[in-house]
Amino acid sequence: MTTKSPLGTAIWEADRHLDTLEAALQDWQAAPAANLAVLETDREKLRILDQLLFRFTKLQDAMGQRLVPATLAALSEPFEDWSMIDRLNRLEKLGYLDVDAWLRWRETRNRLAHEYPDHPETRFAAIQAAVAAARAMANAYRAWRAKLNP
Amino acid sequence: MRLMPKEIAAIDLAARECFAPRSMVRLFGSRLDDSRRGGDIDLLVEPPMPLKPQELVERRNRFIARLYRVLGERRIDVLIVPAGVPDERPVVRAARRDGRLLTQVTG
Repeated sequence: MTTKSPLGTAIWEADRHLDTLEAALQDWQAAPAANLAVLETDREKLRILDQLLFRFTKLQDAMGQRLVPATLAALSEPFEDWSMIDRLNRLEKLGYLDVDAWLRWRETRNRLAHEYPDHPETRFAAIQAAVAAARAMANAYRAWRAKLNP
Repeated sequence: MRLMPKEIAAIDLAARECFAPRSMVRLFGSRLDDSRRGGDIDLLVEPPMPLKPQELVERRNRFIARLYRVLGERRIDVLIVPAGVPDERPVVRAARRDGRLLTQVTG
């Protein structure tokens, strides 16, 4: 592997997660589970969902931890001392992301990391919301990448 | 109760943006204990009417995202249980028994 800029590295990493995420989104869409009972008895669907949510988490981490600072650095923004929310707000002003959507995806991600005592219908609705969030975030990353046009 | 005025104000504003009038928001869990430090913010939201699962998830997501924006990202757990509807989950029973009312959304 040749030496890459921080931005090149961030994109390379995010692209890998995007590829697998989009494949999982396609597989899920081809045969989505109708409810939690169906999902929990179908190993193939569970495998697809696990892959989808894992890559959603990984892509989000790659964007938050590497693409955000690398993009600001590439734009010569003096971001080093800024808080995360200030960095996000600046990127929103520059047209790279929607902060409200980003914070909702953060909440969805954090929720996936913990077990909540939700009712089954609520748990299934949360899974569907996470799949929708993954799809929206994949699209947002594509738009971000296109805008950078490195 | 260990919440700063700024945190209570943020919860009040976010609740008004995300939940119907007369919804009540209570604090429960470790933040009620003055002898401890830090910890998750555990909130019980009781709307006047039940929400469909999809709507519940959507509003909870929006509510917590609004709090992230003002307070920074942190562990915030939100239970949404319609007011007056029996719920036998131990965490809900404890939250209803011990929770401290923070705000009620006005119409």
